[in-house]
This record gives sequence, C-alpha cells and structure tokens, in this order.
Amino acid sequence: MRTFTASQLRDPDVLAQAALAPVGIFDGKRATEMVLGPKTMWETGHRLLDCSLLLANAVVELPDDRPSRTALGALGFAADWSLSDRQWLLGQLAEAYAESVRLDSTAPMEDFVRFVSLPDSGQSSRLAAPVAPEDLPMSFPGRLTLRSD
Amino acid sequence: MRVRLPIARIGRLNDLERTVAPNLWVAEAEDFVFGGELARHARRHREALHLDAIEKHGLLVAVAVSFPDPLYTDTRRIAALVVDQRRRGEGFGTELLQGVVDDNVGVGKTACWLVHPLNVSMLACARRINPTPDEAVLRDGYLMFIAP
Repeated sequence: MRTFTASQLRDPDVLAQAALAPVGIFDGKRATEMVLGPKTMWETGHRLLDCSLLLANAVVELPDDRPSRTALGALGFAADWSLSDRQWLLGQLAEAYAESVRLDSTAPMEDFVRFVSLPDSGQSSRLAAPVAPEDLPMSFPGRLTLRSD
Repeated sequence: MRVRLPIARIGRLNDLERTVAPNLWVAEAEDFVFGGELARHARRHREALHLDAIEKHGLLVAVAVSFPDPLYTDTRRIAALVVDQRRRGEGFGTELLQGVVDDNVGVGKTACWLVHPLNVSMLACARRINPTPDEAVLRDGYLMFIAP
C-alpha cells in the first residue's frame, strides 16, 4: 500500500489512486497512519466479516446436538434439521464463504443462505413428482425398473 | 459452454432473467428452479443433484436440474429446464437437454422428463435431441420422455 502525507491530500492524483485502491495517509502531527480508499471496499470488508461470523457460529452450532436458533442467526431455520442435513449445510456454507472471499463479494454467501432458507410447501411439483408405475405408458415396457430400496 | 454448478454457487442462477407474466408450464419450471422446492431436493439428493447450465460470455443463459428418479433405478429425472427469457429461440434448451441426456447415456443410465402438453417449444426441443427419446402421454396429460 502506497503511503502519502496528510498535506498531499489536496493532490488530485492521491485521490485518484485512493479511488482505485486504498492508500496510506500519514498524519505527522498525530503520528498516525490512516487508510483512504473506496467506501464500497470498506463496506464489503465489513460485510465479509459478517459472513465470517455467520460461518463461525455455524461451525460451532450446526454439529451440536441442540443447535441454538439464536446463535445461528440467518441459519436459524436449520436448527430443526437432522444432524446429517446440518453437516451438509455446513459444508456448502463453507464452500460459498470461500467463493465470497475469492471474489471479494458477499453475494455467493448471501445468495446461498437465501436459497437454503426459501420456504417450501413440501409438495413436489408435477415436473419433479414420482410417476407411479401404474401411470407409466404401456409403450415403455421394461424401460424403467423400480428401486428396491 | 456447458458447466455444472455446485450448490454453493446457486446465486449464479441470478444471471437468468425470469419470464414476465409466464404461462402455466413456464411458471411451473421457473418456480421449481427459483423456489424452495429446489432447495429441498438439493438437501435430499446432495451431490446427486446436478445443476447443468449453459454459460455465454461469463453469464448463465440456461439451467437444467436433474436428480436420481425417486422411483426408478438407474434413471435420472430432469425435473426442470429454464432458459433466460432474453435468450430463447437460440437453441440453448436443446443443447442443454442433449448434454444432460448424453451424460446419462455415457454412464449407462436412462434420462426421463415430463413436458406439459401445450409447451410447444419444449416438445420441439425434446423431439430434436439424439438419441431419439420415446414419448408417451401419461394419465394426467403430461408427456413423458425417456432416452435412450
């Protein structure tokens, strides 16, 4: 990170550089170095911290016998899930988090959480519902075999 | 380019623009892909649920959801196929369906899917793929396709 002095803040080039990526500003009077950069970058960093907290809580709570809905926050709906489902959720969440960090964007993690929390009627739509053997067309003899499990 | 999305990248489906004022069969497929039912199937089938998609210039233009058929062995059910409403008529649906069917043929499995009887574009798409699928009308009027 390149560092400038506070007196250079009037220089348009300093602001132009700071608009692209954070730069250090050294304030000699206070002997303090500050950071100047795009606000969105700072906000994204903070939102990624929120994602980290969500993941950290999930790591603690999801494998627990009695996960805390409160501690799970946005993932509170999973408190009632089976342990196997919660472990699956944790693995997927970690993958979405890694993608968020890679892309420096909270979108993958937020989109994944939104997806898994979508309300579901529990009913399968016609497109996904099982087709009973008695409904199978006669023109498909022997083409499909019922599962034994 | 055909890609398979991991569930953790489900947000990429946001690339697809949903249909404004969809008819019954389009709403049926889009509600499945963008609604809670897909989340339930993802949880149930996990890695066995496939999200195959066509990507153009870094954006998804079509997606197909498939998973092991709940009743029949060695059979993959293609539960929904959705094409971005801005990219219809460019052959992406056929390309995707063909790819998913070919993948199954390659591992000795059967693919099956249902089509609403009035869904003309999906019927055309299903009848265009190779290996040629068999089709028949179910009791409730939907057409069922099996390939190969």
